[in-house]
Amino acid sequence: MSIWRYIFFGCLLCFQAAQARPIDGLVLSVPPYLPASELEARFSPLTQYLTAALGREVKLRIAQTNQQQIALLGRGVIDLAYIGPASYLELVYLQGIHPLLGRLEVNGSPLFSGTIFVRTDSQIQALEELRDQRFAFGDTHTAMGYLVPRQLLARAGVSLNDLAGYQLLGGQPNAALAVLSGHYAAGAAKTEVFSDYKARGLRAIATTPPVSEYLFVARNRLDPALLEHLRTLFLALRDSEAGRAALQAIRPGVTGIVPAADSDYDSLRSLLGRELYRNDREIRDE
Amino acid sequence: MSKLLQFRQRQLYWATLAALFVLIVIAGALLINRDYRELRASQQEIAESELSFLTEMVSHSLANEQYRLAELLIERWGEKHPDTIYLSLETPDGYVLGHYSSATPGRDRYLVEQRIEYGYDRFALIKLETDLHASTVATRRFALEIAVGSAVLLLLFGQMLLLLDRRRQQRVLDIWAHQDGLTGIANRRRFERVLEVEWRRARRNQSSIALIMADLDAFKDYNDKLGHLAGDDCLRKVATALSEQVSRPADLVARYGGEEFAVILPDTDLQSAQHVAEQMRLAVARLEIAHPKARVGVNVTISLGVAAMVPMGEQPPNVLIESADRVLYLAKQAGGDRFVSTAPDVRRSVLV
Repeated sequence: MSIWRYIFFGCLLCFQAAQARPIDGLVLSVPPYLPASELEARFSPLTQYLTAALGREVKLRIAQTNQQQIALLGRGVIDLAYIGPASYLELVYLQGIHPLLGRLEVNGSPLFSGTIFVRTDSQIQALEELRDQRFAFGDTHTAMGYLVPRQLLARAGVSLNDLAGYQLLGGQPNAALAVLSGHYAAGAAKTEVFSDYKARGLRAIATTPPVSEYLFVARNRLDPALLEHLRTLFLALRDSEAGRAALQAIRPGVTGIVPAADSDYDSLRSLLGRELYRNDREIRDE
Repeated sequence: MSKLLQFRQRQLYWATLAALFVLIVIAGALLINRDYRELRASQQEIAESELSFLTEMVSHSLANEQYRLAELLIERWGEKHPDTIYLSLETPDGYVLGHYSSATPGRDRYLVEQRIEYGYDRFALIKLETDLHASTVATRRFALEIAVGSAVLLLLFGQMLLLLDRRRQQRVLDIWAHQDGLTGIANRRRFERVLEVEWRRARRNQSSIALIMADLDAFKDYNDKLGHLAGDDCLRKVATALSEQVSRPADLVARYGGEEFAVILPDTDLQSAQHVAEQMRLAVARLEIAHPKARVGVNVTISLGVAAMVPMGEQPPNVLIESADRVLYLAKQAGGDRFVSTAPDVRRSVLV
């Protein structure tokens, strides 16, 4: 009897393994910066495009956290990852350099910046005046939602402890709305998000230096020929109708994918300095 | 006169009916209008209760600093409720935290505003501009259509009544124009018209047409003695008696003048006409109307002149009338209560 049990569980394990990882297929992972259904809708055109172009299945996998995504990429469970610049720096810090496939080009530029803003009726004109004020950040792991603005504040002589209070509100739109609601004196978000809400009554008081956009990385030890093929495919997305549609689906305004090198992220790296590598637990404790 | 009265009564009847119809239509329109108002009020209540549900959710999101969620709630709510024209979530000083506006302009909009309190000294306002449900609008349109439709129908109905009344009036006038008011038989005008027609027909067919002229004997004395009312009564009785002696549709008994009657008998030869005349004389005799100054016997009697001919050439119908008149005169001369006929040859009169 017991031998059948082993056989049964053996089969079950094989089946699950097969489900988790398509044989001969690839897995593209995205971080959970939006609801899963929304991410599914945004990235399905890309996976379908890649599946058709490669002749092998490319599956989408939505990571539970940014950390999980980095860990899975390191273990080789996922093959490709769509990753934010701050997470990329963390990835490099923890696991060394990975093969880069390309970075996004949004409205013709592969760089983006962040904005620190106040409400139009606010008296505040400079970062220094934010001492003893309430501040709204976005997500912990985002460059422009939290990490870079915190650095800018620190350079202006306002540490987190000098603020009357601050909150990590999750999404960057949430930070913008929080400032509009009047309960936070200032907030930080990508310039793109700031522009969306500017008309409702927001004013910029500081802008971060531009840093490189989101990027696609591959896991180490991926077949070099396949890697080269993938790179070519990503860079050629802008040349076909289906490719452009897949890019537009990821985020409106994406015009293409351009070559990326680790050095493109040096500006962000120097901007964040040691701050980047502080343990997350520290942030949560604050 | 009685017919005129009847005519007026009928008009009154139709007018009342039309007024009733108008009243019913107005009452119906009012009822539908009331329904519409009730529907609108209940819809407003639903909108307000739905809004308070939304307010609850938004307030919860705001209290948890989920501003983006509140914004999404507002947008989704607007998309899910097709009646929403404009929905916004605002701070008390007018900063917009979320808004939705419909692409279609509203038809019958109204504004609901609710204040959200989501923490100590924290407020926001929800402003909702909503439209009427399509069904409510349809109800109102239905009421309007009924009102307009009824008005049109009423107009058509009125026109039809007018037309019918005019035709009826015409018919009454026609009757008055061709009927003798006293006796109810054809009058002189009708007699002349029919004679003209029958005369021409007889000439065309070369058939014989007969005419009997009749006159009450000593009727002036009867009138003088018994009064005009009795005279009228006598005339009516005689007219009825004479009418009963002809049965064919084409035959016509008419009152020719005071106490003179004329009978047109188309397609009738002299002999048949003589027979009819005799029947008429007997019929009047059978009436036994007492005549105090009668020259023959004691009752009212009648003299008749009978003429018949086949119209020749361009002879006018007066020829026939003259012949019948002439022999009637002969009958009078002979003492009355008899008929005299022209000879089969028109030029000779025969005393019977």
